[in-house]
Amino acid sequence: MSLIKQLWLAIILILALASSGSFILSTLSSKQYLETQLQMKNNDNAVTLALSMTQLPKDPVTLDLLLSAQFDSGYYQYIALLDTNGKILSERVNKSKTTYAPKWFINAIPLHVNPGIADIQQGWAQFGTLKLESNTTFAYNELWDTTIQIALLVLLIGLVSCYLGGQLLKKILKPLDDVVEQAKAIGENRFVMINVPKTKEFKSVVNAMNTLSTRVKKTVTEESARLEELRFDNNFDHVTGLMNHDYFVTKVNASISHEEYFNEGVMVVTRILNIAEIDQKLGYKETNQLLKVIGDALQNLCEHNNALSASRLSGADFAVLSNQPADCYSLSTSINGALEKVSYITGQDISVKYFTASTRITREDSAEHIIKSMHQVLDDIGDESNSSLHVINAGELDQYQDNDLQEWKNLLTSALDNKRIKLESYPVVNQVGALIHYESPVRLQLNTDGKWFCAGEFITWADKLGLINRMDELVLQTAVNSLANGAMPIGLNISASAICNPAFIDAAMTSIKLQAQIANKLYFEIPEQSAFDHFGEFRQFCTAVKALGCKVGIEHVGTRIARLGELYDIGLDYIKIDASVIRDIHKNEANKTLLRGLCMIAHSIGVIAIAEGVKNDDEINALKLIGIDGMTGPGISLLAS
Amino acid sequence: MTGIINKSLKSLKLRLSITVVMMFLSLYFSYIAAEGYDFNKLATLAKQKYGDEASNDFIALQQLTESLKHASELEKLTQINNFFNQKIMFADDLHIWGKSDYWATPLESLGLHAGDCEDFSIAKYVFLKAVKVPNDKLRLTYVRAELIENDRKVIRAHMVLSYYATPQSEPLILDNLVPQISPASSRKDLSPVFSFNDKGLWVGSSAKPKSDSQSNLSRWRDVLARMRADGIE
Repeated sequence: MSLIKQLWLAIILILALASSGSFILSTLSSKQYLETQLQMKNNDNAVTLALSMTQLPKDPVTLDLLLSAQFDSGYYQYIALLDTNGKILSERVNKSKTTYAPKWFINAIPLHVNPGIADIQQGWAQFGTLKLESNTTFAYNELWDTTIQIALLVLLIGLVSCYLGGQLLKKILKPLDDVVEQAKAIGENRFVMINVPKTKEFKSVVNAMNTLSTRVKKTVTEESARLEELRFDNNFDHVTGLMNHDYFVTKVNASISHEEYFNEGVMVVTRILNIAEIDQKLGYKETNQLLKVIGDALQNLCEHNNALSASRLSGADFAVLSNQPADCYSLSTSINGALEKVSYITGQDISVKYFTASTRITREDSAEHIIKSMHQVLDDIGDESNSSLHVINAGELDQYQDNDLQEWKNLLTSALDNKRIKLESYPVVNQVGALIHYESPVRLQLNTDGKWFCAGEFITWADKLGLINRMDELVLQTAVNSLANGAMPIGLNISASAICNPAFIDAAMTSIKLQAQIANKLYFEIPEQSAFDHFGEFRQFCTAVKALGCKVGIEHVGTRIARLGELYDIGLDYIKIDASVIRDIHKNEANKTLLRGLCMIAHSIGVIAIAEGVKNDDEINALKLIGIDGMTGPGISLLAS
Repeated sequence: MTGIINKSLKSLKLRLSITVVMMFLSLYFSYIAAEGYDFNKLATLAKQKYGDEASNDFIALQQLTESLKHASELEKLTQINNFFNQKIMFADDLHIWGKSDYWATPLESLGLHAGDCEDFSIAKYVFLKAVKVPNDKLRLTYVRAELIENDRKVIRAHMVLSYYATPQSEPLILDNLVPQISPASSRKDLSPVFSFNDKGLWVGSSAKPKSDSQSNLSRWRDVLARMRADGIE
């Protein structure tokens, strides 16, 4: 029972005791007052009548008359005249005893009043004794009325006091709600801070919890900054800040091998042809500055297009990868455009000469092979070419354009309309091989009874056509339905546009609420880049779905490590670490260190760390040693249990 | 820690039990005192208020009541009547108390050795009850008294104590005007108006007034209450 309820009950109990006590006391004192008054009346009236009788002749008629006169003109229950032996000479009894007070009341609070007694004399001789009892009917009526009135008043005062007490209690305990909220949040690994309330006891609790939150935040922030530095040292070029050759190769391979989301992409390699000349003229320092400007220009391109990533392969060679289908010409042209802008800023009479080659890459390719062959192309034709652009295998690009936009629209709309959708299941397992959830990428059957297409093949088109939200809703509905039918936990990929779309969130909440019991089997995951680019929306989304009991995670973690510190108060459940960090982890000491750090950060904010794209047992064993909580990828299968 | 608590609990318990015992003792003593006539208290109070002589009178009175325990009722009447008639001088209330009518308790009357007619009657009534003369046989009686003062006949309001051997019998009159006890018939100077005793005066079986409010007390009840405070039940 909540504290406020208990205190409220205590208040009610105390009030009830106090009111019933005062009620009983006032009733008893009324009773006593009435008894005293009645007793005095009995005594006085008996004495007065006896006095009259003593003075008057004692013939029976006179005495009887006196008795009658007294009895009839007043409120008497009983008047008797007894002789000296106690024999009744005359008596009057009131037989109509009508009080409207209930019988139980009279039994419960009886009025004890003795009869008034007085002696009558005849000269010196005793004549007799007068016994007189007043009628208690009116006293009972009075007592009953008073009791009812007091009861009503006590009840009224009690109710008013209860109400006021409740209000007061609410006011006093108001800060407690915040404290409890904070405690809950920390329990759910959301290390939030709140304003310190004024109440002394709450103050110390909140101070303690705030300190805890601050410490966690500090640890996480510092650690993630340190890791970012480490990651940068290992994987990035110090001059330009772009990825170095090795990391780029791993990254490209990881992208290509991502069956779900990679269908085809483009690789562009640009070479600065006159780097030696520039170096000679400008000197080492100036040249590095120029390279940095070029690097920034490419980085800028990448920031505007999530599909792109850039690298400095070697001294004069830069590479850009698009992991989504793109037009080789236009991509190369925009890269050349970026270089164009910087080619005349050397301040000397020397301009930057460059040559760009681009090629389409498919799932069958490997990074090493492509880069090698592109280097060959650059070596072969770079200096001789009049143009600054060469596209390898351009012809095949046309094939890719086979389905034009309208056709895609028809296919996708028909698939969505007819719900030709299914969710694939790839297990995500924990250290001991038990299931965490099934990663469930979407499949669409574009043609009736045709091939099931995976996300990588149509997601770009769905995005272009503005169908992505519809698809997200359908995917969610499918997941909810299959969970309602008893499916194992499902992890769903949610796009950036979905978490930025209030309509989608509303619809999602509604459909989850209809099947509230499945909420804890529903895992939402958002790509790292989307989560941090739309951090405010992501935070709101987390709060919304976590309130229902769903889990939230971030996938493809690896490039924005410095920002992991910001996750301390979101209440995230898991992070999935990008395959580019995981690849060949057993051979890469630097990545091992990075991964250890990531796990540490995750664990310190109560988040579990899952490795993506795990391929083989070597990786699995290394990951287990590092202390990763979960794994997924082609090398992972669920142990039949 | 627990030792200290236990200790303080023990001492608390001890104190509580002492208090309880003392409460019961005081109740017990007050019960004993309420049973009869606390001559010790009377004597002490008399000594404090009125000096040794008054105190000695109460000791004498105590001895008298002791000696009358097994005497005949007539003997009791005579002795008590004589005792008070000898010890108390007649005086006006106005003279003694500065009030026109004041009912004094026996302590006051005997202490001051002065009182008017009702003070005599009250004292005799109270101490006759003390020597177990039944209440039913005793009546305080308002009488109309014809007196001769300065050779002139005057009529005074007076009070005497009447003793009825049986309800039907002629009463004996204990008066301060005529020191000897005499039957009513021989007292032609007195005509009775009204008589009473303390029967039926108190509420219920309790001998104490239910309300302490002074406004509720008649003069009779008032003097009875004051007597109780002095140690006379």
